[in-house]
Amino acid sequence: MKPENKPEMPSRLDTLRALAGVTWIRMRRGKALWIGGMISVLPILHAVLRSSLVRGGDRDVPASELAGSITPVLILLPALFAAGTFADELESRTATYLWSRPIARAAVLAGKLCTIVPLIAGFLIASWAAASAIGGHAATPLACLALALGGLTVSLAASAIAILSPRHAMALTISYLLTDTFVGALPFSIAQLSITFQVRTLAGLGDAPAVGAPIVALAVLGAVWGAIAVWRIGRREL
Amino acid sequence: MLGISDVSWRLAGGIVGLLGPNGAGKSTLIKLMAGLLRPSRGTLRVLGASPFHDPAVRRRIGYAPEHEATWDELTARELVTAMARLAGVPARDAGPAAERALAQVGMTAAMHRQVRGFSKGMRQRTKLATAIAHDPEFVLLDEPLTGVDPAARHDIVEQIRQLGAAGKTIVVSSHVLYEIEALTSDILVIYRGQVLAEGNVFEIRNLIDRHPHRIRIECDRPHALAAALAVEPHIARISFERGGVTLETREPDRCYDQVAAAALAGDVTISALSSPDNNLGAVFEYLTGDQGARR
Repeated sequence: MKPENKPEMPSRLDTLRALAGVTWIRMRRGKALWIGGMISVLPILHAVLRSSLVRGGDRDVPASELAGSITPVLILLPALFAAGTFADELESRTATYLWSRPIARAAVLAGKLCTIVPLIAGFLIASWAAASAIGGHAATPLACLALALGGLTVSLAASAIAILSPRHAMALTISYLLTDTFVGALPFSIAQLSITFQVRTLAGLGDAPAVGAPIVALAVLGAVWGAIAVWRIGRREL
Repeated sequence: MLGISDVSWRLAGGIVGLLGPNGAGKSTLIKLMAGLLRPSRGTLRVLGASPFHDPAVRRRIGYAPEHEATWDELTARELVTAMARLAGVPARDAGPAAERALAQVGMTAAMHRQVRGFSKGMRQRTKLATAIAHDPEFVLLDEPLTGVDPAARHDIVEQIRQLGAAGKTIVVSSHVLYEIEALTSDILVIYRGQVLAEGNVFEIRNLIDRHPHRIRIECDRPHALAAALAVEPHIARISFERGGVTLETREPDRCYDQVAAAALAGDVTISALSSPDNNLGAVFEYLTGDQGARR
C-alpha cells in the first residue's frame, strides 16, 4: 500500500472540505433533506392559504403573522439537520472513525456545520422570501441576515445538545427551542436570552427593532453553545 | 467503569493477537491505542507519543472498529477516500489510494456500491480498507473476522498476513483462539481488564490444555459407556444426566478416541457429543482460579 505521496498532517481546510463533502453526500442520499424541504414549505402554504381566504380587498399577510409561521421551521430544521446528524454519529458510533484520524474533534464539529448551517439558512431564507412574496411583502436583507444568523446560532445549540445527550437529541432540541420561543415572547428582560427574540428584533419584527444589539446577542449565544459543544466533544468517549 | 485495570505491555512488532472472551477489555485496549480513549491512570505511548493527545501519532495509526456501522449512504470508494483524506492523504491522491486499498481487500468490483447494501464480510473488508488506505505503520483491527463467512475469513486472514509481511505492526483482537492461531503465534491473553498471559500461542495453548475438559455424550447406554472409561487415569470425573453422561478429562484428544472405541466395543449408540467448555470464558475462569464464576 503505497500512496503516491506519504500522508502529511491534514490541513484544516482539507479537513473541513472532506467533512463537509461527506456530510452533504449523506444528507443528499438520506431522508433528512426531503423532510427539511417539506417543513420549509409550511410558511409558504400558510401564506397561500391565508391570502386565498381573503375575499377582495387587501390580500396582504402581515409580516408578524408570517414570522409566526417561520418559527416552527427555525425550530425543526436545526433539530433535524444538526441534532440529528451529531446524534446519529455518536449513537451509531461512526464517530470512532473520525476520532481515530489525526484531526481535532472541534474540526469534526466545524466541518459538519459547514454543510448544515448553509442548508438551514438557505431553507429559511428561501421559505421566508417565498412566503413574503405571496403575502405581499419583499423579504428585506435584514430579515434574511436575521434568519441566517438565527440558523447558525440554533444549529450550534442543537449540536451542543446532541453531543451532550445524543439519545434524546431531537426531543431535547425541540423542547429547548420551544422554551426559547416562549421566553422570547415574555415582556421581561429575560427575553434577551432568547434566540428567536433576537432574530425577530434583527428582522425588524420586534417591538423595538435594532441591528447591532441582536447581532451581538446572537454572537454571544452562539459562542456559548459552541463552547459547550467543543468542550463536550473533546471529552466524549465511545 | 473499569475497562482495563493492569496492563503492562511493550509491543515489539509484527502481527500480535489480542485474545480474550467478550467483555475482557480488548476493545478498550484497542481504543486506548487508537487514541479514542484517554487512560485515567498510567501511561500509554504509541510510536513514542500519546495517541489521545497527539494527532501526529494518529496519522501513523490505522484503526478498524469492532462495530459494523459506517456511513452507509456512501459508496465504498467514497468512504475510503474520505477516510484517507482525513488521515492526511492529499485530496488528489486520496481516490487512487482508496482504490488501491479496496483492491487489496478484494473489493474492486463493489467499490461503487453504497455500503448500506453490503454483507458482513464486505463491510469487514471495507473497514480494513479504511484502516490501511493511508499507509499506516501501526494497524489496529478490532474483531475483524466477526460474522464473516469462511471464504471471506480466509481472504481477510491472508490480507492481514500480507500486511504483516509488508512490515506493518498489526494488533488483531478476537475472542476465538483458532482465529488468532491462523494469523500469528504471538499473542496477548487479556481477561477482565488484565493481562493473563503473553507470548507464544503454543505456550498459551498448553496452559489452556491443562484445563479439565468436559465432554457430554448423549447415548442409549450411558452407564455401560462410563464403566468402560472409568478405569482410564485421565478421567477426573463422571456424572450422569438424563439420557447421557458427562466426562471430565485432562486429555481431551485421547478421551475422544477412547469414547469411540468403547462405544464400538460395547455396542453403544451415541446420538450427540458436545463440549460444554468449548469457550474461552470457561477456560480463563479456570486459569485465573475464578472457580466461583463457573457453572
